[in-house]
Amino acid sequence: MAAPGYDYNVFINCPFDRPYKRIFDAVVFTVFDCGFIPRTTLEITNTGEVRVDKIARIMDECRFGYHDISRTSLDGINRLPRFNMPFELGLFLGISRQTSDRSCLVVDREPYRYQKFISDISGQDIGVHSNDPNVAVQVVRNWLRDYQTEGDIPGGAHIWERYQAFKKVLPKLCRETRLTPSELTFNDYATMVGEWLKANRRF
Amino acid sequence: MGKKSKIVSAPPPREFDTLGSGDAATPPQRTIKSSHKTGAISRKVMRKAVHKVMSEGR
Repeated sequence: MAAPGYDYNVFINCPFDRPYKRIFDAVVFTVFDCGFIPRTTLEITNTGEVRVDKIARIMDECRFGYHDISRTSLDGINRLPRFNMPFELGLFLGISRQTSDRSCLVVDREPYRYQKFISDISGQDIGVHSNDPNVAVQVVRNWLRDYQTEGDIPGGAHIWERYQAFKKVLPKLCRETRLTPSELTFNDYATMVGEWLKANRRF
Repeated sequence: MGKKSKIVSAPPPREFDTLGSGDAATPPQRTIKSSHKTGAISRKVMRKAVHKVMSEGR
């Protein structure tokens, strides 16, 4: 039996680092604005749970998966690439083989680049965000549009405009709730986005 | 006696909304879902803050 909210849950697999944050925040906003729920491993604060179990459990509850494989460069300290994103993509594709209704969006920063480092998925069409949050909003919106059955979704440009309006009031919202923007956890940010969107439902 | 033919009136022509008419039907809206995350600030507190900030902006 599918988990509650399965049809709306979007698993977000991406780098959780500072350079990626501007894309991550925009993607989370877009998922909410399209009428879906973003899910990430950041939502679980229980350090007692084994990480891979945590990932698999959240994935099980998600019909959709956003997988950003753009972070292929070597890290500055260890001179090694990050394998977590391709690993989680593989896990999601494995789970997807058990249920035919799952859908995933694989994104990179350039078209065709992924064929050089993960040729196993070279038969799939992937999205390109060019390291630009505005483009990422468009890509995510166009993907989810095909699955939104409750109503219309505004265009990417409109969602971007709403996101800019949200970002403008974010410091005030933080002040009202005694939070600091730089210290916002994913759970706090998600609640903030959800409530702001509910109060600003203009189409 | 032949069977009476039933007269059926034609349905009224379908009206299309035109842009800028001012009375266009509102498109169906998607529902913004709540994420129900534990460890987050309560939605009630956040809703209050959102309404306060919005009212300040007017």
